[in-house]
Amino acid sequence: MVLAIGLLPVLMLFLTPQAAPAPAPAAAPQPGGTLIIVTHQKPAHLDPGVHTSRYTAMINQNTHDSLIWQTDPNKFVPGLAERWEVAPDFKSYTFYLRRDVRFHDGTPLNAEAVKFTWDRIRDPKTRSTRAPFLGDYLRTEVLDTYTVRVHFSDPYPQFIQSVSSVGLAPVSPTAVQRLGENFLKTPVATGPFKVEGWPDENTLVLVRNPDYRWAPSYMRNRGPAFLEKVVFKFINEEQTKTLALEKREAHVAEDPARHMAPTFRNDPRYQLMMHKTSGVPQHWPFNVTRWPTSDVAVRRAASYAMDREKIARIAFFNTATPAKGPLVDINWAFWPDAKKYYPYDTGKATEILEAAGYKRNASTKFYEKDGRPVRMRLVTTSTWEQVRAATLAQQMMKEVGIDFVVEAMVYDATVERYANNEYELGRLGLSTFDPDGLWGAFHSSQITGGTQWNRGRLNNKELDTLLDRGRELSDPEQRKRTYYQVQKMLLDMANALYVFEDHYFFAGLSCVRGWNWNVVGLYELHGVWLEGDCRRIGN
Amino acid sequence: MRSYIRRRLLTLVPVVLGVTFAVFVMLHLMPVDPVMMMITELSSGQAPIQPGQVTEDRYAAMRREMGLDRPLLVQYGAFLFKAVRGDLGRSFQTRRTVWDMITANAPATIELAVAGLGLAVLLGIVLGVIAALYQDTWVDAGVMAFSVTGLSLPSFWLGIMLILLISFKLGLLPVLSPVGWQGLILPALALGLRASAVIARLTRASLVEILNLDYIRTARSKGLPGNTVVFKHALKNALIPVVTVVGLQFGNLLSGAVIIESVFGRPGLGSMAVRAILFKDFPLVQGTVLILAISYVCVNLLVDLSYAWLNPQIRLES
Amino acid sequence: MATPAVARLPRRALTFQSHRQEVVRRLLRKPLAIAGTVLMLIMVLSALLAPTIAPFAPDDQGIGDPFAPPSARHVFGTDQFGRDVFSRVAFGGRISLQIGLIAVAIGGSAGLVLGCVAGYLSGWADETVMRIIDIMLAFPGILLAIAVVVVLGPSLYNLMIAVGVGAIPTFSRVVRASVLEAKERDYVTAARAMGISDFKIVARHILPNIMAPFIVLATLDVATAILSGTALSYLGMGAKPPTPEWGLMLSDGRDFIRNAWWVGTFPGLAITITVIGINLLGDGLRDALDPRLRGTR
Repeated sequence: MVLAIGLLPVLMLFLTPQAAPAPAPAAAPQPGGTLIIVTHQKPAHLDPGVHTSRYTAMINQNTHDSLIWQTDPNKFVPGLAERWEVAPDFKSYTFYLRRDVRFHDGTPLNAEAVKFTWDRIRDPKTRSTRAPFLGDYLRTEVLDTYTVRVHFSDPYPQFIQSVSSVGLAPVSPTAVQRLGENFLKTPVATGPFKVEGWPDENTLVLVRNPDYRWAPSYMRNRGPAFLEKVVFKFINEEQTKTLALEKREAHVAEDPARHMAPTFRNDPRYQLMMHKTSGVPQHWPFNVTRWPTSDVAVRRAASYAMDREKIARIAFFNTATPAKGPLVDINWAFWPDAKKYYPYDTGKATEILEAAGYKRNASTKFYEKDGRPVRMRLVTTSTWEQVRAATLAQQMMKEVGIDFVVEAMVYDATVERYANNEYELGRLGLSTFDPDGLWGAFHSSQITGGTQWNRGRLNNKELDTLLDRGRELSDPEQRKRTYYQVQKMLLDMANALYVFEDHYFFAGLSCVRGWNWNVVGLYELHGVWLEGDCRRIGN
Repeated sequence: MRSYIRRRLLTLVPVVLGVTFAVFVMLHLMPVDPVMMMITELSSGQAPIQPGQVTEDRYAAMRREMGLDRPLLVQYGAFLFKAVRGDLGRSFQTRRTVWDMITANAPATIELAVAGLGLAVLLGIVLGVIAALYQDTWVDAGVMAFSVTGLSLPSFWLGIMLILLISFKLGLLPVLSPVGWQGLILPALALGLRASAVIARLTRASLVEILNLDYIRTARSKGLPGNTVVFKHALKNALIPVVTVVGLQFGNLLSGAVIIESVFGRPGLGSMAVRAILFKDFPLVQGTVLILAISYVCVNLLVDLSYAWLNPQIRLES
Repeated sequence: MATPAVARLPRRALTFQSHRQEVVRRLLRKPLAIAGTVLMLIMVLSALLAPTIAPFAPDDQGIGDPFAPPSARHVFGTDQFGRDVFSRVAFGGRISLQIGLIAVAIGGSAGLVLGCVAGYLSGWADETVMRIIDIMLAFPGILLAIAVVVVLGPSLYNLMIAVGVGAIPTFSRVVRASVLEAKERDYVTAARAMGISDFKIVARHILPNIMAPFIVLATLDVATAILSGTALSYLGMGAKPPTPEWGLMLSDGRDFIRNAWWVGTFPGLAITITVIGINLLGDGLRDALDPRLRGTR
């Protein structure tokens, strides 16, 4: 047990790839100072029990604590709960809470509070989108002041993961009742930072929780946070964010201008804080029910025609890495041999097409078969990442005689097109570290049902069986091997154009120390401290 | 006078009804699903970070709670009924009341619009007067060239240029608009420049016309170049068409505010409304449009009233 | 720009056509108007002749290195994909001008009909039209455009429709005011007394007289339409990549303004010069046609 905890920091190092190393750590962390973060991700509200999106989760990670914390896939450590028990049938879980935890308003954390939180999430009046995290919830039982047991009507083995997310973090019942609807703007929980308020609609201020003593074991800082305050300024315009950082009016900028990445990387006054998100990388699944993407030759040719490295370089200025296959390479179930598939080779691409009986039309320069040109429509969202990558891809496809049409639109419009089967390439990307994400993306039940993420419309019995087996198995080694087979099968049939692996892209002043990403890809401000004159900014 | 005001205020009713109904229809024509909007990530189109999908009946339950499963006219009727009593509903996204969100965001926009308009009127009139006084000289040409350019620049470009030049290169003002008048200067300038150009041209044209009237010419040729009484009278008359324009420009300013607020990172109704439309936040869009429509009618009324005050000869007929 | 309007006039036009020569003469006397016309002609010609004057295709990537500064080979430099900025600006002119013209066509024709109906028929028709106009004006223009684009779907043509619809109120108002004035003229009263049908009266006697302010507004509105298109592109509602639309290029280029200023500056200049040219021409037309019109803008 001790060994495991001791190894955790090492594991953390491997799991959170840092950018260029910051200058050698000088003194020990110094408390004080106000950290100013500029971002465009403005949360609609701050109550993770009602809804979490990446916007809210980022902030809530610092204001809320969960009962247990996930340190890497399949590994959990105590948080607000000292220990826990899982019933063998996975229908109930018992949590033994710490006794020294207080909410930001001073009221104690106890089993009643946990019950209140979870009941509230399930209450239809709350309209929480997090309700499914509580599975087939029956009830939460208060066994004694600090012991709570939750019951489900059906086995729910993944609950251990759900309960480690910030969505199920306990909130103060007193505050909920006192603040009413204002609770959504200024929630009260147990985290290292309290929400002080919104001085204006685009500014959020958090202050340090001086009583904080219950940080999970893997955090180096076991006491209150170093920072005195954190100010979030919500700005849409990328230029403005970048300029604010460069003029030292902010310490950290989320998603500044990407082409500044080399500058920030090389200039010792700045640091890059990037985090690759695990899961299924951004890809464009081929619609296998429509021609020409139903022809495996066309799919393979297109895969060879795409220079993924160039896309990462030109569209993203190397702030994203090329995708290698159905899983991101940092995922624990990533198949190493995936990297061998489809290197950039325009010669091979045309060779495959010719061998399959396609003829190049001399005037249009596109390949054809029986008079039909090889034309495929990509239906994707109109975010700049997609548009830039697609524009580059379009040119690459043109070179090998494939007519690649890009149709970028708002998200709902894409969903409608997918539903109507009016596309040859779709778009998908999933951030999750469980390879079970593959099930959602490629299982035949997810074409028109469920999540509808199977935009490639794959309906392959063998694949389905493998994906189902991956869900049912519990031994990680066995699961890994199953998922290796899944990846091989997908790559062999060239089911998609795997484009890029998303990174969270942050840039900051180098005097911001201790920046940390947790496993789920959220930043933890608890260990962050400001060095030297950094602390004079914003005060 | 009073009956005129009453009659004008009565026009509020069809206008407001028309506006809200149009918005209502448009919102429901959108290829939309506000429930899906609430569940999915908008910007990346990705699903939520953690596994756990929304089941069929949860989805249906949410639709029911948001009142989206009732026929369109019923929803519209309910909206009107509640609106009359001051209940504009709750935003789907933030769960706050629409009224709360509007009152929270309105001051920033009003501040910006007033500052922008003030700047526009000041700058425009001064420039127009200068151009008129020195008509047909280089000064005149210069001022008019400046105006035409001001009319022709895309506003977001202007905003970014201002930030780059004044905040970044010259360091005169901070990049992140602070509270107070300091933070208003650049946005107000970016916003008001176009209106100031229109006002400058109009002021010049009006003033030139009046200054060229015979009796004024005679007075001036008799060696009274800066005859203030005559000048003041001329200016007052020249300003009449300007007043109408100012009223019209107010609407343009609100449009411009959407862009300027985004560029400068200022909170306000503009950015709130854009987000609301993009996120298909029906109650918020409808509530905002309702309030905007009412303000529009009121501002128009004020403009017409001041028009009449400036020139009592104009009778207030519709 | 004056010629197409003349071609549209019915045969027995009065004021405008008979004084056409006078109008042109007045126009030529104003140096600013000439400058404006010249600028406009340059932009229009380059747009029309784009395929000839552009050295490369606007969508061809990798022709040069990305972010290459202006040189002999790439007069305006290259953008983030290595595409030639000059070629894109040249082709972009076609699109921007299309936006302006189609938007004005939509706004102008609808506005003409509404304005004539309101002005000529008076009574409840007038009231109704005025209320409709008020309703349309009660939306801040940009929100209306966004809403239209979201409903119809983002595309270049829907953008033109959105901007065009936004122009209807202004056109209606101006036309209505002019119609009201023209209605009081002697020959109109006479024609009505003679029992000539309303439609003929409007077509033959009223329309020609309102052409002046209408043309001026139409000209100036092309400029406004182009700028509105730019604003919508900034918000992501306009043309979709890789369309070489000026507003989109400007919007993309603003990200690179510090390390590759040419990517956004040249499209920006193109927009500004075109709009200035149109404005100057419109002003000149207004002064030449009827100096009294200065008060209507």
